[in-house]
Amino acid sequence: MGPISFTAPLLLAALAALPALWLLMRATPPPPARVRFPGVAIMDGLADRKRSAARTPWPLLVLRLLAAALVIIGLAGPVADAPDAGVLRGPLIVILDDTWPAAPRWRDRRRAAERALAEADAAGRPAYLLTTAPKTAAQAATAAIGPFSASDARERLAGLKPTPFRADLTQARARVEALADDLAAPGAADVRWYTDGLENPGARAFRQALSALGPVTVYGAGAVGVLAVRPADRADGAATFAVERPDAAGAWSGARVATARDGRRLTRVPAAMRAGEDRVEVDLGLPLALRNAVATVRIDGARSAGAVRLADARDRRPAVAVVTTAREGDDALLSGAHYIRKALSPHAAIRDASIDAVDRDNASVVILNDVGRMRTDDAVRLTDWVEAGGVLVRFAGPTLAKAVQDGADRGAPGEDPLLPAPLRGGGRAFGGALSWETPQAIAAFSPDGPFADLSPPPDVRVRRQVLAQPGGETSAATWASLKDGTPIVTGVRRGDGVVALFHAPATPQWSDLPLDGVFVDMLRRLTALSALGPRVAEDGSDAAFAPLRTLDGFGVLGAPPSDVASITAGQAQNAAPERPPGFYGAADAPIAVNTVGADETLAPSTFSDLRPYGEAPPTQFGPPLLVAALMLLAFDVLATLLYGRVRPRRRKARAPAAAPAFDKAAAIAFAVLCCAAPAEVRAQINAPIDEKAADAALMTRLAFVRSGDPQVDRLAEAGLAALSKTLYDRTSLEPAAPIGVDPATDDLSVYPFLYWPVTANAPAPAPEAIAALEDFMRFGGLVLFDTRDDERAPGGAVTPERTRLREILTQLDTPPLTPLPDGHVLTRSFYLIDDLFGRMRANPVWVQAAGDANDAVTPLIIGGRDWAGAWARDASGRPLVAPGRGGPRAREMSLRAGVNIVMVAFTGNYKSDQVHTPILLERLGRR
Amino acid sequence: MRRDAERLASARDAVLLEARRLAANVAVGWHGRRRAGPGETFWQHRAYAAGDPTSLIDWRQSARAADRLYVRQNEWEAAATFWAWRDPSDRLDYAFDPRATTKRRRADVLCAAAALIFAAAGERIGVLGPDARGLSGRAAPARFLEALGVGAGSTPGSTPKSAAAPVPPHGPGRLDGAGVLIVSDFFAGVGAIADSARDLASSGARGVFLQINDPAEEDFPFAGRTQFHDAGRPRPLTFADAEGVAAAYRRRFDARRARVAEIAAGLGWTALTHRTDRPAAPTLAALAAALGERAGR
Repeated sequence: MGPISFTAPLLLAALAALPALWLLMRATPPPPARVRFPGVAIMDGLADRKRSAARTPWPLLVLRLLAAALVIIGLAGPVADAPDAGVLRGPLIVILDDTWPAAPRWRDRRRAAERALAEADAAGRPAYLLTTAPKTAAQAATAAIGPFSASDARERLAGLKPTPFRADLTQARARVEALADDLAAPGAADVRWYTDGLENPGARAFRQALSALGPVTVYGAGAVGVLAVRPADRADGAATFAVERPDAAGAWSGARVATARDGRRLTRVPAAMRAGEDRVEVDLGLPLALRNAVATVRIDGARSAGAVRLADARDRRPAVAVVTTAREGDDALLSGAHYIRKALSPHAAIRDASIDAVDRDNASVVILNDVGRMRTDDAVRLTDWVEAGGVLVRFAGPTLAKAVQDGADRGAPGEDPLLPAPLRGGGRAFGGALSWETPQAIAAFSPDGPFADLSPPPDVRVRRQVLAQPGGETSAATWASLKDGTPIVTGVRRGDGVVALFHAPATPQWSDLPLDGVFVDMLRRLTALSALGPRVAEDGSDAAFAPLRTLDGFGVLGAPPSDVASITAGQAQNAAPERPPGFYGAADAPIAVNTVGADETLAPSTFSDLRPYGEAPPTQFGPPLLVAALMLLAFDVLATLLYGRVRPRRRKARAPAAAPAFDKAAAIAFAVLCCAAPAEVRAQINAPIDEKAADAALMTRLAFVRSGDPQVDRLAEAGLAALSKTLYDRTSLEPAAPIGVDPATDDLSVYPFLYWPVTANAPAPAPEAIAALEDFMRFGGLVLFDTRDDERAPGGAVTPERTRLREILTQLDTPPLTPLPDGHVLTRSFYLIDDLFGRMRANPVWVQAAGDANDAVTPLIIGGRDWAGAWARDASGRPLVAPGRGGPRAREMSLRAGVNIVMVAFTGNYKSDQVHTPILLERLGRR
Repeated sequence: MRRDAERLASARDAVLLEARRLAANVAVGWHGRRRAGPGETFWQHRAYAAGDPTSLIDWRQSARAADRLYVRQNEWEAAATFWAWRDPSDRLDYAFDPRATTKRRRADVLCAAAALIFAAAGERIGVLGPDARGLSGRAAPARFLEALGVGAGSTPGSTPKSAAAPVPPHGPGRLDGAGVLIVSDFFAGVGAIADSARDLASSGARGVFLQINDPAEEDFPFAGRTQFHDAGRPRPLTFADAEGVAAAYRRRFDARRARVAEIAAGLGWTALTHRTDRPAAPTLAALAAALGERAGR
């Protein structure tokens, strides 16, 4: 940290007023201690010995003085490392590379330039602002470079954004030279050039021109963070892209993101470069179906137009149209289209087409599978399409052979533009019963043809072929030949396109070729020849494509600026100020103009005296000081309150003369309070969770409502324990030991099932309990009310328990009730039973009437069957309560009822699904 | 409501218990007047006289005699011989040290203890007030406390506001020989109390002024900037230096005490003082002695 200076040093004079403040504040009394005192009745009119106030206690005084001093110093604006103003007096000339390599650290650059302008502003120097990105003639004419006032220049600087171009230093140099002529005193200016860190052509000459204006400072952060994406050489057609960087120091790792035209993110592929590497190729590895949908490939997180690659038709997979004669059989293995499809489908988009529509189908490759005679207009259209760049691949076969034969018979031998070489009529068969010749192997691939780098397959035999007319034309067109020299594949370029012919069909009947791997390679080489993409426009026409969306320097696609004109396909190769990178043309098949051209080089700047941007800004101490003063004043308020509060009791405990000691004690207490307060606040944010609820939340438990009658509670607990054990043994539900709850105080939300033994003398539930219970039922809980009085209440007679239950229910918001209907989910949620058996069974059990409420799951079951009594067992497994009618069987049935009830509590209406009806019917019938 | 009632009752029980303990220590030795009473019911039969309503005739008693009709007569209205009045104002509900006994509590205990002593001696006890009644019998102490309003002052809003000074029971002759205990801090309303006491004295009663005070009220231990307030006073008093007014306060306090003593002397009564931080027994003994002179007449 450097020397400390003040922005407003005059304010410090106010510090001299502090002693006066001291006197003033001494006089401000602390609030009086408030005391209740009946003796006040006889105190009216007593004379106060001194009207003037008691002294402010010294800790408060010090606190306030400190706060005042902090405010004064803070307002005076202490700054460390403040720039030394006034070293240079001439105008400031800021040159900023507003190019895409500058985008990744644009903020640093702009801040650095801003700092320079702020200095100039403080010194009142004029400023010039010049950018180096290429400009159109119109832009260059309107762009002003100054002189501005420094504050004006700052505003202009704030409006600058990186452009998606590289710096054009030649153009910029012209403007610098023009500026040099304007400048009153050339050589006196303070020139600062904020470069993008890349080596641009003409940089030396530009700097030369700058130094004519004055001393030049060149800033640059190297080329750290500059990344560019370019498509890799795609001989194999895979969607591979290269990440390049000019600065190979340090390792880099990131990811490539491919986005579809509709904005979907298609894939994210990690990529990494070790230190020293400046290029890495990454295969997007996209599923084929998605490859054509890729619109942009960008480096994740890289904010630069160079890190975005826009894909246009030429980057997409070839679209292959397969035209087949109608006579193909149903058997796929005998169909040529099948073999073509199998060979190409990983590499191309394939679709069936009819011959009269291939040129309108956006196909880049058309495969005619044994198509013989064509209508003249189809042939003309196809020829035009080939000459525009299409690749026509034909497979010979019986149909073609017959057509050629017919043509020859008519005396018009094969001058067919859609055949690479004239054919002879008929075909040739080897190895037949009447033939001396054996099937031939493929001997060689022509070094001039597209298959030059393939090696002939050793085990492929050709048994039949269609022959070409021997001659020079045929020899020149031969791309692959058999051992005896006859062509098996011929091909020629026609216009921009290619016509190729396999002299055998795409089925294995004539040759083994379609079964061999080399067949795939050959077809892929052929499709790669296509110059056409979908709706290709490289036909040299002047068709103009209006800008669709353009990239800005940060690599964000946006609406095109208004001054961007339409482009032609030929111009789509490289970006220029009048055609910024972006998509042009129709939205469904746009042409892409990319930021980084194919021949563009990325190299770090060769200037050796680059200064970094990141010079530390001056440290301002003012704001923190003011904050500290505020905090002190807050403490002061607190302490003042504390004084008034604490005094009287203390005063009683001590002799009246102990005032200073008290002041110290209060100061200490105040400090302790200040430290303790945050901890307290934290504690209140995390409201404590009831231990019981936490316990119940960790383990599933059945719960019962404590009635207050110890015997009833014991029985309920034993009953639920036995039921829990049964559930544990027989179902996948494994409850922990049951627990007694009080709905008024315990959190019911952690229990799924509540057993409520209703006793005659239980206290009425509190309103909180009622509310908690309603919430419990509303949010999926199940309450089982048990009045345990069935044997005492034949025919629904009113018992004290029933009266009590009625009192509870009148307070509860209960749904309409109905006696348990036949086939209710409670009778089949686990066991198939007829009724909810308990220890007794005299009156019906009531549940929620059918309806939509609560998903038609009953939130409560009401009965008097003493279920707990029926379930309860002691530690050795003996029943605790004598059973009603039915003996052990009844006990078992009541346990089953209990299991069903708990299952409903847990699974709801799951089992009322009609899916089980047939099985249920079957089982019911069997019984 | 019920909780309040229970709290009230328990406060009364506590006061009664404390008073009993106190009275047990004091009563023994000096009074010595154990009387075998006629029973717990205070009624008598007298012969029917013309003019008595027939509903008053005790037919069962009359049936025993051949030719007489007896009227059942309640001796309810007989003169009480111990009357107490405790200042009902909120001022008494005060203790400087919150853990210490409030003035009201100590006053209640002393009243109750004195009443117990007299009740044990078979005399009637009562509380001065608009509907003063003499009480006797086993339940008398409890009803005495109820009439005294024990515990009532601690529930806000239930404080009896009316009685600023003791109101004598009706009829001047009834108080002949009665002992009257008047308990207050005498911070206010001394004039009204003196007027009442004069009335009581003129109807034949002798009595004791008991000035009960908190130690803070006597010592004035305050210092520094202090604001004094009290329930019922609209404006608090603020002193910049409480220590400075202490002497003046104490002078006033002493003057007030002297005035009470003067009033008492003028009536031939006794003035006693009591501090709540001192034990109650000596005060009770002095109280009993002062009243007992007359009671033992």
